[in-house]
Amino acid sequence: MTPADDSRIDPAVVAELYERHQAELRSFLIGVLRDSHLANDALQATFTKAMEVGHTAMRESLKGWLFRVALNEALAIRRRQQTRDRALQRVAWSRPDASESPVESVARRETVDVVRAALDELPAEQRRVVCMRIYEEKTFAAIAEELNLPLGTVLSRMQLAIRKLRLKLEQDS
Amino acid sequence: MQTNERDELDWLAFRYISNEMTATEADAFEQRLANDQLAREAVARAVDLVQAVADLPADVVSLATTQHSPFAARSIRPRRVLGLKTWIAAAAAAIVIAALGQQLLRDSSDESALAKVWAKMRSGHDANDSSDRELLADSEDSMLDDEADLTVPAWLIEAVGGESDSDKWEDS
Repeated sequence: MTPADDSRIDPAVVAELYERHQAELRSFLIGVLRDSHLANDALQATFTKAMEVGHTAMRESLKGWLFRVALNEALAIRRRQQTRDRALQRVAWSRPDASESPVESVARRETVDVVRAALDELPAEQRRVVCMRIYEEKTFAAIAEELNLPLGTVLSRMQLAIRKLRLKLEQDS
Repeated sequence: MQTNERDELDWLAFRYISNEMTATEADAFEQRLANDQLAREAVARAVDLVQAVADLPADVVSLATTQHSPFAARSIRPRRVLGLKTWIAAAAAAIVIAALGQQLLRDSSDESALAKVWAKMRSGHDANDSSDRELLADSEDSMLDDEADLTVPAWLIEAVGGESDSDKWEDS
């Protein structure tokens, strides 16, 4: 074993980091790449890098370090594959991920139940905008046109709905 | 972090993952992501929220957007409902005309009978109309109460409305 190997991060630490942060990291990567398969690639590259150079990250929060590495990996993947163009395609948010564990699957279903209840509590006009934007994947401009509303009203409704949904999710988590 | 700042960050993150930013805004937000852990976590939260809504069964979303929605009620009018409404309106008009005719016959000596009945009908109608207006005003107030909390800046409206999706990413 070389001296460099001696200084490497303990694989058990990396495994623990993976267990603790991979779900949030994966969501973050989907947000950047808008593609669950590419997000998985970036996640794998992130933890590979953690194994290789994670020992250099001890000075700062390991979680923050992981996210920064993940962002760099995601941007590199996007540059390589020109995924900015692909991001224009329909985003398959709801496609079930093959790598999802049973525990994650249960957690996801619970989240869906909470969101369903939270949606029910929204005023009808906010719920309508949420469903049109997220479920029907219409742009805000298209929603404003379809509902014959000023764009500012549509944006306000969505922003208020996001705030309420987030608070509800936090209360129930 | 203050609640307002957090709301603002969540909103930015939502717009980022939804391609509702200009190329310049998206680039600026990605630069922020390079250094701001809270912004990264906001992106993860936004994705979780969007996925949860997108995972809802179609029937739930369909109910959410039609049953309770005044917009849907206004836009979706089956022919049968329209037909029924037409018949009800016609019947109501016939009743009003019959009542008007009877009153005129009873008070035929008075030349101003028609004017009186008309004035009576108008005053009743105005009273109803004014209560309707109050109801409508109340309803609009309640609907807009929390919307008034938010002022959407002009640049945001321009960002999401003034540029097509394809422009946003191709320009960057």
